[in-house]
Amino acid sequence: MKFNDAIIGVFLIIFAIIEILYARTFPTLFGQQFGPSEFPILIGIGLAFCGAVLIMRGLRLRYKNAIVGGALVSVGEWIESNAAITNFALVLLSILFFILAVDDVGFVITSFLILALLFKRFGNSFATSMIGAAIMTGATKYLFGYWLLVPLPIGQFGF
Amino acid sequence: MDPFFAALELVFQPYVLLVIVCSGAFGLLVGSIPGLTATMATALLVPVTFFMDPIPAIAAIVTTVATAIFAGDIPGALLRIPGTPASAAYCDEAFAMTRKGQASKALGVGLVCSVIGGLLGSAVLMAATSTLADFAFKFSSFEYFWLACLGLSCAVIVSTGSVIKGFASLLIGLFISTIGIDLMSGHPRFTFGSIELLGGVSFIPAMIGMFAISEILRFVATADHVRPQIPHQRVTSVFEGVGSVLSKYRWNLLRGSSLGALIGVLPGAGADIAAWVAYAVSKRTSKEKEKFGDGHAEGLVDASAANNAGLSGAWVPALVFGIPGDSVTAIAIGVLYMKGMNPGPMIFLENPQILNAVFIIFFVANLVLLPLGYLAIRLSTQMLKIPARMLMPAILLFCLVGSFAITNSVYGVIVMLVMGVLAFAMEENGFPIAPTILGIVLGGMLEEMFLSSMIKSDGNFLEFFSRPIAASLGVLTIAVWVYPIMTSLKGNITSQNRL
Repeated sequence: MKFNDAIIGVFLIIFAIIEILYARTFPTLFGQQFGPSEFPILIGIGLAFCGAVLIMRGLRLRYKNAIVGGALVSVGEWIESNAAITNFALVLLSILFFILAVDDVGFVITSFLILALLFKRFGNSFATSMIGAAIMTGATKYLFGYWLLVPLPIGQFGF
Repeated sequence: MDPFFAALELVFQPYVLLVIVCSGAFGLLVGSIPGLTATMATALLVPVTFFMDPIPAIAAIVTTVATAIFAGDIPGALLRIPGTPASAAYCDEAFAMTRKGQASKALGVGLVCSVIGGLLGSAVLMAATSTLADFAFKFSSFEYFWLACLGLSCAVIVSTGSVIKGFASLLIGLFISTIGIDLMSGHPRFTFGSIELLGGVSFIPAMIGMFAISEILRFVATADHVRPQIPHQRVTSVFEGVGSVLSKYRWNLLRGSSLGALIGVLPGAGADIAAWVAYAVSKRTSKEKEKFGDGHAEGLVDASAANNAGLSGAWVPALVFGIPGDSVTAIAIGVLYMKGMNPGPMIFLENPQILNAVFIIFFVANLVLLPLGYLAIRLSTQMLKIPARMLMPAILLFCLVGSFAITNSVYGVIVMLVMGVLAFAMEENGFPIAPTILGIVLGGMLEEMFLSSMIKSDGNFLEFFSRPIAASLGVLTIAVWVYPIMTSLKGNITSQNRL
């Protein structure tokens, strides 16, 4: 999704104001006039400046050319494809599922489910998806879990 | 023992050599798949290097990138799809050679020039770091502050797209670097009560998110999932005719390598820009300009030498000053810090054998590229048949486990997800992400140097210009910002006068 520069500019300015106000609550260094707030405030000022320039640029583009770049929000071609939206959402949901489920369900089941779903969704046959998911899960478990000794969660099922 | 011989002993161990060969193969595979970049290969590799000693870890990164940059030429020549952005400059030229039935020659020239460019770049790295290190010992916090500012400014100026978006991107990176406990005061900033955020935004999951997750999202959003048509052309006698091309364009080879190494040293300007500049210089100075675009090997010689030489050049500011030259060295600096090897001039005194080992690794990685690259070219038609629909889910799993492995909790995965979505949204709206990465890496150092200098100068900003080198760097930084603004204003005034 593409936003007109003016919208991004407004967002940057709002973010910068909140950031500066919050940073001003930080204490100063002992015996000094400055402290941990100085750098974030400078960053905030920079972001607000960028926001202002983007607003000017976005508005100029909007009024100068109402057709090209004139829209406040425009969607990429992919948004018009239901398949692309579904794939996009599935990838994000798969990551969220991993975050929420891996500690309880365990690494092996979580990753197998994610892989099998995505392999199938991206156009592989059912058998290929199952075999591919099983091999990849096993290989990753072996590489990270046994070889590199990463404590991959085993969940309530013990694997 | 002499540091050089100690370094040789460190590098020429079976384990390190095995790591070099395996990461070379990994780099060739990733680089030859369109859409997967050398930086993504590095980001995916870092979780594995996390568990290695410093030398094999550096060897893995250097070899992967060197081989991935070359491998980007393979789909460029055969499919007209550059495997990595560094091959984009001469992709059309190489494909034109393939259309003329010279695919083997195009790839052979690319391979040999990449190896020679990489070796010459390594020699520049070795010579330049030793010379600059003596200079770097004179630096105080004032000089480091300005140097970091200069590096970040160059990264913004040379980044793709608009300068203001590059600047905003850098500030986003700097903001991310402020999250966590402030080391000078011990005060938590922007953590909102989260214990995990006290340690800051975990760097490696952030890299994986920005380079790999955003790439996967782009793939699922835009790919038409059509298997590319591989030309029916036997890629066999790879080195046939390469000797005569190199002999004819030997000065191009030298020029491309030198230019690549020099451009690589500039912060923010990596192998991609080196290849574009070298190709443009080659075309402009050629006696056969009219042949460019029609399958002429001259530009290929310049540009493929330049992008591999640029990789070594990018390590010069990284090793001497701790300031990365491009995204890959930004990741590499993160790895060096994790291994307790703080880059900067002190590394020359404290760890000369490790420094020498890095130089040797560069030479070995580029030499290994020759046989591995040959093998990759011979297997290219098979490698290009690997369907992306099988690869992308596998890469996603690798990202998930890699991010988890760094923090041993889902916190790393959350950071990866947030940064991946942020990078995707930024790129969709024309914000380059390389300045964000440099901001995250350099933010801590920049703030530390800024506050140290402020304490030393008792809050007087004029003191930042009181030392000769600091003043020169400060003026140079200001000039980097003022020059494009003045040029733009001058252009506006001229156009208004014409009206």
